[in-house]
Amino acid sequence: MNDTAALPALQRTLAAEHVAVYTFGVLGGRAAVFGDSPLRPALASAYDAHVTRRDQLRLMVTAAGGDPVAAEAAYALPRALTTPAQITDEALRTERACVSTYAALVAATAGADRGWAVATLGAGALSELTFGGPPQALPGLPPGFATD
Amino acid sequence: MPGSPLSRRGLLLSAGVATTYAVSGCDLDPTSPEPAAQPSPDPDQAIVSSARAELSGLIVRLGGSPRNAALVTVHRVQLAALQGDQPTALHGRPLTPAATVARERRAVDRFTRWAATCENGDLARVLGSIAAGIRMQPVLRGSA
Repeated sequence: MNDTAALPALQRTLAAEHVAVYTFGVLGGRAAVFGDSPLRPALASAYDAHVTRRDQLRLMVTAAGGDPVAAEAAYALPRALTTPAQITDEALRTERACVSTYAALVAATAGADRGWAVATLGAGALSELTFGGPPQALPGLPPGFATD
Repeated sequence: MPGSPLSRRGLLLSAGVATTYAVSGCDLDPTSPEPAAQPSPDPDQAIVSSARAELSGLIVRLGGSPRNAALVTVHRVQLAALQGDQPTALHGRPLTPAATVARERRAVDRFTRWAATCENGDLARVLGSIAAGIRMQPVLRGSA
């Protein structure tokens, strides 16, 4: 599998990371009013992780011969993001979306790029736990995959 | 963002794992002078077999202790994703908690390596998901 074949998946993953960086930035701002809540460092850590992955994906897209997809000016978020529970739910939803995207990236890549995608899939799954997600047997795969 | 459509049956067929014999059109032609084409070896067969054996071994070794019930269920789901036969006899010598952690970590390392090195991309996705799924389990979360 060459870099060119992986380019669409790399671009989709980069687009997902743009969403995640935006979302965690907003969530961190909304959580700033919660004082010493453990939610704040968790959101800050997730934001930093997604910024790092976004930057890495830009490099990977360029290396594959592509022009990295740009972020939108803004992304639609749920209107109600004022309570810790609402913010946590949105953080979990965002992490799950990224984990699914990385699982698809694993399928589309090879070599070092795939190795990075596998590692990032695992890191994203662990981040789901931070935001209250339950442990899963097959994170990133469609629900019911093992029984279909 | 969802990935591309993926099904368990489609995965293993595309990996060539569930199909023992590839039947070509010539195979069905009694007048053909050519011998039936031999299926090409599946480059991922060894990885799939090893992955199934790893999960079966964990199920057998963990299955004797009620405290491992949830973990055994996870590994059964993962084995089903690889269309492996579920072990029924759980006669393995029970593992100590420390040994359980060590075996689970070893499984994470192996599935990570298999995901990175197999030929078939969809198989890699499942193997990578299994590695991530094991990392999520409480037995490893409390052992850092």
